[in-house]
Amino acid sequence: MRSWPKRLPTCSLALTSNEPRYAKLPDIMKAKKKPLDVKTPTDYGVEVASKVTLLKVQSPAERKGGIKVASVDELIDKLKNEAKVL
Amino acid sequence: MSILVLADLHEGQLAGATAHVVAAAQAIGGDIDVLVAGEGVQAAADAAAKLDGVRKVRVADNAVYAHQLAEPMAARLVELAGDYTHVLASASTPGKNVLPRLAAMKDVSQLSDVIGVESADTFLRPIYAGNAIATVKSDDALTVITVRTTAFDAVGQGGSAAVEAVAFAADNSQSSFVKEELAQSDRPELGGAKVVISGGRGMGNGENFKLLDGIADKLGAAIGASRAAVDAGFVPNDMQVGQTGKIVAPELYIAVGISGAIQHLAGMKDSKVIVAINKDDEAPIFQVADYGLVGDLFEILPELESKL
Repeated sequence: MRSWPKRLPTCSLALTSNEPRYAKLPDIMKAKKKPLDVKTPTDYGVEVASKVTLLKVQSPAERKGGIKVASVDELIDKLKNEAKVL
Repeated sequence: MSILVLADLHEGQLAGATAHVVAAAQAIGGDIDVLVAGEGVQAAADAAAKLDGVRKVRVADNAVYAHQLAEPMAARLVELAGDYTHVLASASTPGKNVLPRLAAMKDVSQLSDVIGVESADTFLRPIYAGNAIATVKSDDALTVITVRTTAFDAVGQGGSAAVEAVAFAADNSQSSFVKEELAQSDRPELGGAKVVISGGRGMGNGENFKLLDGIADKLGAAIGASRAAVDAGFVPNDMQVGQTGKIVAPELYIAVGISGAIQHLAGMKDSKVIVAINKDDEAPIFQVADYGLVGDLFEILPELESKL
């Protein structure tokens, strides 16, 4: 865990989500009457084209399920003699 | 082509992850420079100079870099990046903190968690929590990449690169380091350990994680945890293995009381041998485990410890 002081303005990200805000029906109706100003990204001088192209998607190497062992002794034996990791 | 690798430091020393990132840089090809930024990092710089394939090591030695804070580190990188076509770092906590900031400042798209290199601009990376591998091509002038270190074998130690100092870049960042609280442990680092033993919600409480200690000591293992165990407050979140935690690929991974949610599997399914201990024989962890043992972990763990 890290902590540090920030001079404002700052932007932070919280791990836990906040209480959602539910708009009331009258407010939704009022919102419909508000003027809607449609802009394109070029109005702000922003280029939205992605420079990254997705060429292909493949499935990763499947991991085969193994075996079940019956006891701790068998597990240790398998790890020592079959998998050779101990 | 020229590549800048941001070195990973662990307590001021060069972390093993760096050798893996250099391996990824070699797969891209071209001149490879390593940036070591920190405070009192001469030893780390000398270690980086020994890595195979490194042309030169650039050292930014200043107190502002001591804690690898993203703001000054990215400011330093932005100025250096002009000399390079690629900037690489490991997909570790500092790498994932610093490089996105660099990418944003240079207005380029970062490629995260790269696991394979097809060509200088085409890379493989996992998507959907590792359930699919995407091949992506970047047309940016500067390619910013975080590398999943477990996917590349470390380069050797036969090099002798030149070490040069780089000047301090203006630190106009708005942050400063106050303190860091890390779980103290003599055990190996989770990301680089040969053996990892992890506990899940099945452990019941934080106290029961002590059951893993004895086995970890005998195996020289690092101790991890599933997100369920971290969220339940059993252990600190720097122990978390999984999609949002650490990605590990040890020789032996022992999952204790972990059901095997896809997000956890994403963090450990590249392990060489997986052992699962769980009381539910239907648990999905058994579908990826090489060896499954169904039973009560509170009986199995002491038995395992005594017989190892």
